Amino acid sequence: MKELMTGNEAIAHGVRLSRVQLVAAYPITPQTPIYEKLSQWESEGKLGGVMVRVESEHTAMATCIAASLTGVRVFTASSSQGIALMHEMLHFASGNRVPIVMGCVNRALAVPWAFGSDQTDTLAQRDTGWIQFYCEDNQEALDTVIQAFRVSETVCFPSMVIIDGFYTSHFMEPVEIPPQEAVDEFLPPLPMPNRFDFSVPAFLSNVVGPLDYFRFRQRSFSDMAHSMEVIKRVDEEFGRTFGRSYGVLEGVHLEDAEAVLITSGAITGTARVAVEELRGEGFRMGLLKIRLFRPFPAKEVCRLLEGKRKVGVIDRNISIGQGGIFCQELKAALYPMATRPLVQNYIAGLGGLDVPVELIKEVARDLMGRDREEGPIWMAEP
Amino acid sequence: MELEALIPVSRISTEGFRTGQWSPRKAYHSEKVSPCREACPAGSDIPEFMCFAAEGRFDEALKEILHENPLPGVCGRVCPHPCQDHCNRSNLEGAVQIREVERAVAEYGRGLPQRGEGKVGGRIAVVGSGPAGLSAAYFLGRLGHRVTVFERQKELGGVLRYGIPEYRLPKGVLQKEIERLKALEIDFVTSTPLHRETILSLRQDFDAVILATGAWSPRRLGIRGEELQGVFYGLPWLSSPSTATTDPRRIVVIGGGDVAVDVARVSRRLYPEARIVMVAPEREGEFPAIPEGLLEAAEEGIEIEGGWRPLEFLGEGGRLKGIRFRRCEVHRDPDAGTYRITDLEGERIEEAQMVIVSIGQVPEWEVLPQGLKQGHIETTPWGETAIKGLFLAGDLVNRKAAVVEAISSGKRTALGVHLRLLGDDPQKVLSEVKIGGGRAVSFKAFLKGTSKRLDRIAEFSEVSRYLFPECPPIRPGKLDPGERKFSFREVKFGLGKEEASHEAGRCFNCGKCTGCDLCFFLCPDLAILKGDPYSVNPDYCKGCGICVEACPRDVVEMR
Repeated sequence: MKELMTGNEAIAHGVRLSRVQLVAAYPITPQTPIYEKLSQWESEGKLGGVMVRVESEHTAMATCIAASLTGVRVFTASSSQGIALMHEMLHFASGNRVPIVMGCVNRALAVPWAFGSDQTDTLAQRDTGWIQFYCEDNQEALDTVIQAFRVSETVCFPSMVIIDGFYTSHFMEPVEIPPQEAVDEFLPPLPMPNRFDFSVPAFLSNVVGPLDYFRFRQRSFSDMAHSMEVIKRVDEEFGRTFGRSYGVLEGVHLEDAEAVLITSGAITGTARVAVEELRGEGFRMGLLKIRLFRPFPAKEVCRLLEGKRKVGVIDRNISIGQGGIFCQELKAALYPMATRPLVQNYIAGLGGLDVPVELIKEVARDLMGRDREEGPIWMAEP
Repeated sequence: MELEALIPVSRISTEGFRTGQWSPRKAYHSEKVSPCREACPAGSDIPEFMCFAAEGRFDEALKEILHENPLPGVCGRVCPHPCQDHCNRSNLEGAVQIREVERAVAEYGRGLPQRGEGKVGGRIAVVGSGPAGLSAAYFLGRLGHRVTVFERQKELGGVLRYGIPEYRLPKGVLQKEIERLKALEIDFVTSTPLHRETILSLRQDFDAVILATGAWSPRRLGIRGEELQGVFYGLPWLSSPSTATTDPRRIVVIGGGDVAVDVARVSRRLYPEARIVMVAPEREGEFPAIPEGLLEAAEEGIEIEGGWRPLEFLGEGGRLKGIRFRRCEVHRDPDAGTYRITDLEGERIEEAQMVIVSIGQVPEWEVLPQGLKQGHIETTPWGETAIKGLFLAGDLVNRKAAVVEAISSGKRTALGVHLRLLGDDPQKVLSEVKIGGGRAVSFKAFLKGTSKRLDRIAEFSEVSRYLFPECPPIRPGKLDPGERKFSFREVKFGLGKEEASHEAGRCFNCGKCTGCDLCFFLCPDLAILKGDPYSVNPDYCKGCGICVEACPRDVVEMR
């Protein structure tokens, strides 16, 4: 049976079902309802774990790292400036290979201050060594939290489960809440060994020599690359257990598509409608949703875009001085292809600006009529 | 998955990183002398005993005081407490009431001094059992010498018994202190007055003779009428005030010092109905007596009048009937320690049936060996005279006549005698245990050595007050002035145990490491070694100075 709930609540349900033992977080719009829901459950005795109230996101992450190192399952959530403040500790988390899951609700970074969705806050953390899932809707958010714990605890990397501020975080949708017993079976208690043996004192986060440093980074890189298979396997197993799976990418009408729109997050839902309407108008449009950003599914992207003539990447984010971040990553991934498609970048929806069906159709029409690439095209109104 | 292949784990300590190599500047753990201790002529280690007293450990607090001062019960009552004037807390809401805590420690603490096992067991004679004589005997006993104290009076104590009145120093308190000294197996020979020849002949039976006979000869005014009946002198009158035979309506006390105050206050108790006036050449407010005593005298109805000097005692039939005064003013030269009186316009005659002249007292040179130059004795800082084997202590050498100065002098002389018998150089040894810039020496440091820097003072500017919330001093109550007129009961009440601990807890313990461990916990390089005493490991101290800033008591310093 489904229940109506917001994306924030869906994430909170995912946390509860995952039997998280410790939550250390600091409130920030638009993530706060996750924090509030978990606090409410804690006070009602429904959470099972403890909430640790801290004075900043930096401390929230530090607390999560320390707790996770002792072998307990931990969760935190944040947005925008909070994620930015955490930046230093995000490196500590991945460097210590702790399986923390963080719910991230995209929100524009200051300045100027704004509250709407903008992926730059999480994409700016792409080099911190975290797995990143960009979720399209509320159900996917709930399911991905459970998957993320399973993945993180298998590969020893922390994960971000990311939704769009307000569009996903505050819109209500019918969501299926998986039964606890099934989740328990899918996600057994944290298999981490107890890392602290008091008879053999140790110090973590220590200084090492440059060669050791080099080797640790190399090891992390290859482990992150190998985690791709784990992520896929966990998603497939989730599908067999719960009847829903998402893939690391999802293609729509790619078989016969001449041009393909690339989206992530909540814009994907709108893009699905736009693509259907365009196909009704006779255009052979396809859609590729990128759900997994780290590790980046480069090979998978090349395979799915093989033979396509034109690709339009819609980015709700911006790297000033270069362009949309998904577009950069995609271009880098496509570079080894013998025959590369034309890749045009479109910037849309920054700061939470609405990206309606008509705007996406405008993007598609521009792409179809285009025979050469240019710099990012800023699309504010249809 | 093997954890240690995934993440760096260190199972060695941070000792691999010799952060001490980063800087030539280092922190040093260096206990210092508190300003109160520097000011104390006895050299009491106040921050040390305050620590114990604050925890209610009065036995240990007493043991600590007894290292430097044999008479805490006495000093806890009659000391002018220069320590409190130099207390770092006096810069804030009021000095720690050190004297009151000392009195409480003497009251509640139990413990006896231990006779020393000296290498040189000398035989020493001490003449006089006042504070200087008792002090000298005490420290010599603790050094393992055989000491014999000669006292001319029937009972021990000198000025403590025969000079300071009961309402300031109860005889029971004095007796308790003297009993404590008896643990040192000192021979006390009382009712034995000595004089010039017998003193010198003592040297045949003793390795050294210490004269601590005090100052018992009253200074005289040298004016007309001093022979009249009704004219008395301060200290002799105090030692046997019952010789006053008249029943005076008006009593005049001449003098502004502590003895004058005591004389006035004893008169008040003996003659509750009389009008009593203290007259001195100094202006009111500039009397040399301890202000507290003057205040208490005023509370007891004693009139205090400054700016007059007596010209003549007027008599009738051989009895005093009045005094003629001249207006005057006093010019002091604080650097030279001298003063000059100049007359002003104005004379008056004051009626009086009794006058007690209390303008100071001098040693009885006439009964002391010749060669001790009257009024100005050349001695070493440890009281050694030009006469072989003869040493002086107390008022015979001190410029200031205070009990604590006598104790200080007795200690220095005892050490001087001891070092001479050992064949050591007192000048050199005593300078090593000198406390700050004062004259006090530390007996504890002499006996046991010390890691404390005795030549460094913990300054107020270096004391971090953030650990010390504002807390006003506790001042004990006093006997109602109305009741005092008819009673020799002690005027000042003592602190209760809890009050004393609370007051001791106000002490910053300047210069003393209390083991608060702020340095230990805040050192980013774990360079603080918690030994006894604490120290800083130079291999790891990178000179950041956090411990120096954090130390609330000016113990840790940067060099």
